[in-house]
Amino acid sequence: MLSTPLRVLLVEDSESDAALIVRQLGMAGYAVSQERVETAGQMRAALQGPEWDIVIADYNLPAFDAPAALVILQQTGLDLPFIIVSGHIGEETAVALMRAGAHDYLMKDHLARLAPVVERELGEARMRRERRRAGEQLKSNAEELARSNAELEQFAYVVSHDLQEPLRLVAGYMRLLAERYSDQLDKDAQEFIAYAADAAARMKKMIADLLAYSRTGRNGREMVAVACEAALDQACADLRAAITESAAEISHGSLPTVPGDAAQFTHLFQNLIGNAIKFRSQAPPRIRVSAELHGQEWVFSVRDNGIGLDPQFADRIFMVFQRLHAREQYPGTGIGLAIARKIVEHRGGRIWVESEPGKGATFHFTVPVSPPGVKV
Amino acid sequence: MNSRLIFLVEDNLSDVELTKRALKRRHISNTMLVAEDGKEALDYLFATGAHAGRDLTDLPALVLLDLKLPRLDGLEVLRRIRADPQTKRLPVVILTSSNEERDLAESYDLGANSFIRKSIDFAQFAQAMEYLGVYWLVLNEPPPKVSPC
Amino acid sequence: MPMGSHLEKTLRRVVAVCSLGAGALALLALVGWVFGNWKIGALGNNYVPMAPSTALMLILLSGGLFLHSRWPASRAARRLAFLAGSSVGSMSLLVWSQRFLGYQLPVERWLAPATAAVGAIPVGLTSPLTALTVLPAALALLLESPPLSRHRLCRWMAPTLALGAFMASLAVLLSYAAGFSLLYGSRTVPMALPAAVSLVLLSCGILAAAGPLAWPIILLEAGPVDSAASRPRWSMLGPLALLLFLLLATGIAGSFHLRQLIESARLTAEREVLTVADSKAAQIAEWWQERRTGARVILRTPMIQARLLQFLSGSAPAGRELLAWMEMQRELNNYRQVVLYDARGMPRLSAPAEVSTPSAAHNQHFQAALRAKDILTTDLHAYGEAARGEPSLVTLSLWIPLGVKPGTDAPAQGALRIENDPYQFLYPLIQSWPGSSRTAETLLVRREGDQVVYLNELRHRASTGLFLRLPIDRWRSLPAVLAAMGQVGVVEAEDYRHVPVLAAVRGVPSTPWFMVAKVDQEEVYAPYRRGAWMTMIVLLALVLTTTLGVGLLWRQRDNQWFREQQQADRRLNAELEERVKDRTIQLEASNRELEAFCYSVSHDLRAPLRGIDGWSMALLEDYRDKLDEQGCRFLERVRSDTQRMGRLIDDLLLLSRVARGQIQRSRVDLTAIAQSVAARLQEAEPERRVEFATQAGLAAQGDARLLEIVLSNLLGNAWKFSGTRPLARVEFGQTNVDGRPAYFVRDNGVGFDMTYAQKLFGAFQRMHKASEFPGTGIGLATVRRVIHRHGGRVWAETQVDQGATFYFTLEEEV
Repeated sequence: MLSTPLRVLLVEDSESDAALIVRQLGMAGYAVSQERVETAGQMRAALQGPEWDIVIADYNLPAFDAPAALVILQQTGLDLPFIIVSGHIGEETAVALMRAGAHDYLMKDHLARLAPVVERELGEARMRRERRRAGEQLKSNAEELARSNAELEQFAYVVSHDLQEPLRLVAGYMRLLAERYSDQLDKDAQEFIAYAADAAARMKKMIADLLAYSRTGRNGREMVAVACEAALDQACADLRAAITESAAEISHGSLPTVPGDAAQFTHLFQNLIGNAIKFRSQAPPRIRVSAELHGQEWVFSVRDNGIGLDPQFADRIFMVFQRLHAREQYPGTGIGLAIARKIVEHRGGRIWVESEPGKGATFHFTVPVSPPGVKV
Repeated sequence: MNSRLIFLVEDNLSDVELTKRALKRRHISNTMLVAEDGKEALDYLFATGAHAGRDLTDLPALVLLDLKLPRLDGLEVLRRIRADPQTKRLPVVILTSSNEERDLAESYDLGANSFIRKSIDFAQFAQAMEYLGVYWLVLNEPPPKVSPC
Repeated sequence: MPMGSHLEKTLRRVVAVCSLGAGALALLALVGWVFGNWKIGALGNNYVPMAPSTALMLILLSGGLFLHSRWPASRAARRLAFLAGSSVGSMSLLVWSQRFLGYQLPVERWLAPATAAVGAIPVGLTSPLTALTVLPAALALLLESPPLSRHRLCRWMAPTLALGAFMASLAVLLSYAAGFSLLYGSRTVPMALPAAVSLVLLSCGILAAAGPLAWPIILLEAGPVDSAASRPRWSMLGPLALLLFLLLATGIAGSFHLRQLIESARLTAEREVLTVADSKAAQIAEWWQERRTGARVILRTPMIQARLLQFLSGSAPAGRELLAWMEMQRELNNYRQVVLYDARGMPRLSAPAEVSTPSAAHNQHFQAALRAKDILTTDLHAYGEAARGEPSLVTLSLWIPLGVKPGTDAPAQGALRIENDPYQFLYPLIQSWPGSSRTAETLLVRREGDQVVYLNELRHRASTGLFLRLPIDRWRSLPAVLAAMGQVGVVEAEDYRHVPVLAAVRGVPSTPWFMVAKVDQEEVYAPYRRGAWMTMIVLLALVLTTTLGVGLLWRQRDNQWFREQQQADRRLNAELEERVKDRTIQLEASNRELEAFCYSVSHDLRAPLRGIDGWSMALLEDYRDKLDEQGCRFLERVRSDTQRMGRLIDDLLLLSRVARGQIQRSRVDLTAIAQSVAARLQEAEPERRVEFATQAGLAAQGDARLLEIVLSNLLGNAWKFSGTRPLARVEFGQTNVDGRPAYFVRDNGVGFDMTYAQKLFGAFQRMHKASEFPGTGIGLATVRRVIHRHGGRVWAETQVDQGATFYFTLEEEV
């Protein structure tokens, strides 16, 4: 059997007793490294030094006693098992000590119990340590998460905020130039101005999108019961122009009522349906929205008959500003799906797409039946 | 190899025009060919898809490759270029506005010849283009042709 | 007194109550003895009282127990307890040995002057059973006292002994409750009732005094002794209550049942002896009548009288005929002897031929019969001595006077004696018993003055016929005496052997005799007694096993509880780990999102900026002549703004990266970095005259890249804000602040208002108008981030127009 190393701090005035204890532990399979202290000062010094696994104390010493030793240990804040081994100790005293924080007590002539007690206490100390560590880790993780999320928002906010001002200026200048000097400038020059103005406008749009993106999610609104059919209708109303222009047909199965934010759901539907309309094929878009209950969550599907996409890009499209097509082909900054994902993930669900090029696309997203649990 | 052809892979048209302009003003009068995304670039280089039937040995003197491209990513294009024995010696200069260290490292790992950051200041950008042209098209010794086996 | 757990308090209370109770009882009995009224110590009229020695022992023991529990810490108390235990132990041993060694402690006699008895048992003697029960109790107390209680064996033995004493005394108590007291039928002095109660209390107390660690209590108490004092400690009460309840219930039920059985047994026995007595009495009476009738016939038949007289007056030939007649009579009636006496009392004829020696008694009888002129019965009497062990020689005779004429004075001229051998009929009748019985017997007695005389051979004693005489006044409750006094019925008394018997007494009609048909009580009750013993033992065993079983179950349940606790703990841990994992995943996802975000922002936002700048420049280059000054200025502004936006984006990206990235620690040469930054700044603006003072040899542990950003920022700021001075001075060095080393960058520039210093390091806070000093305001936020990640602090001291000093510390080197 392998020897488990054990560092024991012995508070004991009798060398022979200490040796007995060490021997007992040795017989139980521990490789004992120990230090014996007799006074409070020695104990304090020992505790400052190397790491200990366990403290075993005699009850009565000439210049010291177990209760005082216990106090010293507790003052250091170390969580070590504290075991009292004594010749004769009244039951009341022993129980009082345990109330004060000692972990166990043994009779000196009962040392056979020592090894199992030690093992048990070590196990418990380990568990306490782990639990503490896990708790701290949890706390720090939670803090970091909060900070990271806050940073994200702040970054987006700051970027957009501090960029909006100069951008406005630039756009203004460009407009001025166009107005004042267009007749003096030739086609090329006008093209230049147009390019620049175009770029400014694009940037403005991007910034607006970024702001929207950063605001999505934690707007602190309460969860209410959202009738998804109503949200869908609202989204369609918002997209009326695009729908009529493309002669799109939007149908839906019966959609449930889920807890959430109505505006966000509307936005989500608007995004997905808007995309379906935008990335349409030759045929007029046929879009179907449906929902199914799978266990503890609703799975929504938005299917279209558009141009579809290559499945290897199925993950990328949800990233910020990611586009699969050149700007001239299809407008947009590429933030729509990123916002959609943020909405869905904030609500505790997932979003993904199934598609083949030329065969349309089906976007799925899940909404848990119950509101999310403890938030960060 | 057409020692006069610069292959620019860039999706931003504005940037394409500016690059063209920069090169022109510095009198680098090479022909510039543009591909707007990674797929098109590979199609051209490997004579597939829309460019099927093209002479494979007719490779550009320099490839200016942007990293953020729609569809196929710039790094993926680079990987494929370096994977093919025909094109693996092709000089590729990464020309991107990304200043992520990650991109820098991976570009060199994949075998890019050089990495240039596009600055916002057009004057600087134009200067960089001039250096680029002089260095790669005039100074640099192009790699020898790869004999088709 | 140190505070104890609930269990301990309960136990101590138990000990106090028990020791006080036991002591009080013993004291009561002793007081009774001292004042001569020993009945106080009996708690019951027919019960044996507690012997004074017992009382003494019990007082000592309870005293010792009380001391031991009340002042466990006091050495004196412990010594006393030890002393009490040992002394009582030896006393009980001594008392018990009396039984074997056959002597009586003089002390006992001295303490118990009264020589009374309850039943046959002399009072004042300690029952050996008591002694036997006191011994383990005393030993237990002994073993619990400190010098010995150190040894594990002693600590184990003490409660075992106490438990044993408890059981024994409880058994006796139960038997009292059942109504047939143990040992009352035998020679052994039984345990007195108060002694039993006392001992139950005492042994209970001693058991409790063994402490909560004693094995019976631990067994009853659930689970391992755990410091989790939050658990309720009433677990012992359950099984104990159960035990007591069971004991009580079975005891009561059992005792009632037993009483009933005994009653019925008794009734049966009574009926039996009564029947026997009645039938025998009737038979004896009949027999007696028969004898008398036979005799009367002879008396009243003149012809027989004449013949007899004829013989007596001398006609010889009549003798032979007469003899034949006498012989016939004898045979017919089963007489033993028929003897004819003449007027002087000399036997003349006898059938059978042998003639018994005339004795004085004979003569007396003869004379008496002659005088009475009627049949005289001489009652059973013995003649001659029997050999030892041989049955006595007893006879019963009827004297019939001859020649008596009623109403005349004519003297009798002889007598005929008819002798009956009781052994022929009478004794066998008496000594028989229907059915077999070990101890039953019938006996015949008659009263003679102040004595009763036993007329027949007794079963249990040889050679008693007419030999055993017992004085009436000393044997008042003897069944024979009672019978002789005329009592009729069934009595429970002690017979001539001092053995308690159930006796039917009555007189035999027409005779002077009295009959006693008796059977030993022991024989009647023995089977029940034995049955009761067995039942009790089985009962106790059952109860004990039940309690043990309950206790073990309890303990197992508690162990289960304990195990469940552990499992819950482990589950809690696992859950916690799960949550940590979840949170970490979330964190990573969030971080990744942030990174991706920054990445795309950096690329995508820059692209349009480049476009704006590029085309503006293009316009400027190609159409400068077409545009007026204002137009050109517009374009210049556009360019500068655009480039500023680019820098802003870059700065933000840097800040964000700094916050998230890994710190790579190494030894960083700060002096070298400062010098290179200074060189760079000078190169960018060669026209400015700035004096750089950098302390040599400054180094620190940290991330070189990040620390370069810090110095770049701080020195850059110092450079920037001292731009208004003709001779700017920028310093970088190390100093001591509050005992810790701190680095500083000092300039002699414009400084700023200290009141806004709080906001200084917030991102995008600017202290001056953008027009005065270009800058995004992010630099210091970045600096603060880096310093914080290094575990340090950064702060500024400044005054308007007096320059500024920025201090920062890094983590202490371990």
